[in-house]
Amino acid sequence: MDPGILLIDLLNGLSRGMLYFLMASGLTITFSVLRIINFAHGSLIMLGAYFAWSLLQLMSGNWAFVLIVLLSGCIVGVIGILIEVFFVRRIYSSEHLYQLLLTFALIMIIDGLALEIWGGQPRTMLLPRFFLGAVSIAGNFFPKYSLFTLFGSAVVAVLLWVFLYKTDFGKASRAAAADVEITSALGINVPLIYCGMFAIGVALAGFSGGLGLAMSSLTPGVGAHIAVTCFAVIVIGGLGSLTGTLAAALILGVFEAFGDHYFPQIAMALPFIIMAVILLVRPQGLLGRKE
Amino acid sequence: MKTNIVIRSIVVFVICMGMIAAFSTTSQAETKEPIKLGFISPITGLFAGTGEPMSKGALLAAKMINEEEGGILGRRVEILIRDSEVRPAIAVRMARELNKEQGVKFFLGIISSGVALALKPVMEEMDTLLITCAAHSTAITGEQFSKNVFRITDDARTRNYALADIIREKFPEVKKWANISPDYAYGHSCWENFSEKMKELAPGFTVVADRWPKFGAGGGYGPHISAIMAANPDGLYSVLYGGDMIAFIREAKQWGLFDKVKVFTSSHVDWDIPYAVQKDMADLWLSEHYYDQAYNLPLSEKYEKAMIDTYGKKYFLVSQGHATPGFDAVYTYKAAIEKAKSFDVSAVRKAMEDLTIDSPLGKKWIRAGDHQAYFDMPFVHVVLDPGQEMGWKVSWYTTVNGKKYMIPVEEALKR
Repeated sequence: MDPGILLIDLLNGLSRGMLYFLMASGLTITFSVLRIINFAHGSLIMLGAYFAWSLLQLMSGNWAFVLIVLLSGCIVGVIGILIEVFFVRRIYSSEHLYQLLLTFALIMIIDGLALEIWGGQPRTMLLPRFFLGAVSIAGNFFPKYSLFTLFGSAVVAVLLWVFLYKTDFGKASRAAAADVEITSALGINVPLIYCGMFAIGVALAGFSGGLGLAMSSLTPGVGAHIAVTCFAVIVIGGLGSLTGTLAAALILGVFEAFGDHYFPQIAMALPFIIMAVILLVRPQGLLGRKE
Repeated sequence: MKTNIVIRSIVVFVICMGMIAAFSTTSQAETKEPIKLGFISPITGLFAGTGEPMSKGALLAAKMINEEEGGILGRRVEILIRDSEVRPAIAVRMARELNKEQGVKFFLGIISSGVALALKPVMEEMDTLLITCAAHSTAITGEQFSKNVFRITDDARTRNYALADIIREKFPEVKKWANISPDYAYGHSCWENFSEKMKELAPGFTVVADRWPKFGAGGGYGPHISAIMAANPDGLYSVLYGGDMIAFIREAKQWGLFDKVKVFTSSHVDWDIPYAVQKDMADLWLSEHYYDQAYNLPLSEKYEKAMIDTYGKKYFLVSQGHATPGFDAVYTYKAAIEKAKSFDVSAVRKAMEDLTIDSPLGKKWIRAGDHQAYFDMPFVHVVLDPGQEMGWKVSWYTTVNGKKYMIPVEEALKR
């Protein structure tokens, strides 16, 4: 095997894995703090991509694109606040079935709105020149944009860690995740934490949509198949564990990349094989806690 | 007082007459129960760019039939649209729902061969008819033939044999080929037929890379592209479509794959792809369901004008490919029902066999033995042109009649 090609495959896997992490991290945060499984996460990823596409029609330039991706995350985050205040807040103490019904309804509403606003025809983001083309690595080409998503996702992962472990809000949210009654008794505004963490989870979805779907085709409902991957990642990693999500995303990304290249016959089944093996050995996921 | 009564009587009389006149001028089509056609295709998701315009083509045909032609045998046409994504199980459930709850006997749409093949036993069980508009696997009108299923578009064999002829003529030196197509019936059927014909035409034809990514992956083609580049092919073939093809072209462009090959071709790429990809487009020899410049018939012009008037010019340019078979399928039902003078399924089926309809592509003839339509198929060469708004233009086109590649029914039914 050519070591240069192996390196390219590894980079492919890491880039894909970091993108999976970015897409699934919002889901993990929402679940770890609020104990809500947001089935509409894929639709919110799609919404972020659509906002990025719309903003790209108004702005151009290399830095403008970075700004657009950040902005699309913020806009989806604001939508997340509205969703939390008007809908999700009402079902925290309800059965999981209500969460399923509510977030499933949100999928239909968001996808329907996307169809009305952006139409059914596929949309693509035309990227600035800086992100186009490939760089030569060990004598082989690798796309610049894949490198950008790899490093962009890594930066977000670090910022997320700093936010959760080094800021008061992050610490309070982790406390709320561990024991909501004691956190509340300490005078911490738990509803605010819930709203903030839901918004951050949703903003991450929007941001990952703008960044991750920049090379894909945008059509209403495209989030559904992304959501499947996100759920696979958080289950493999262990529900609610951000580090587990990162590990699962990287394992899945790297295995998929090598599988696609060298074992294409089984590549389609690979994520499910990995999920089955890990769950057989550790039913709570890689870094999940036993309930 | 008397005058008032007379005036009132006149007013009442005039109103009554007006109403009678209004109702009598209403077409007979509006007074009878509408004929319901069940349209099943993806309206959302990665493949919305194929199913959504197809539904618009069907709706346009229904509008024209209702408003200008008095319906079908005096009954208005109603299109009931269902979004099946590209999932066979959903399509089957929707077909059953339309049949049981809405009384639908005639179905159309379907962009995926997997879905079309899943619907085959359901159509037989419900004794209903299906016209597939963009499912191309040879098996549909071949070894898995059903008396209840018709195809108004081409089959993979006909289209790919014609494409292979063109590619061989234009690029006689290209012998090392790579394939990247979706891993299901349609992808395999297209590549098998293209490579079969190329082997016959070009001695020395070899396949150096054969890649089968998951259908509906929607991106992440890097490992496949890297493997293809390592194999160093001269020719690249792909029948990825919808969101898959858009992502593949954009990713492969970044990798520089199109700079390495002499020819990139696809037997089924419709206009939604180059219009979506725009400046990231590749030089591509393609074939699609419709290309407005290739047909200058009175019906083509009428159809194009109606599409533009109803949905706008930009929508028409992008969506013409998939809209046209949807349009044709509705007119096929109209022609068959009028030929049968009945809405009875067996009578309509019989009428549809050996039926010739007028289409924007010219005459479309449905062979009785395998229910396959034959017609003039468009082939196009898209080249890059930074001077154009979209970054590309059509530099060459032609049409090839499918009958040129027709094989006997007995042979077709074995494929």
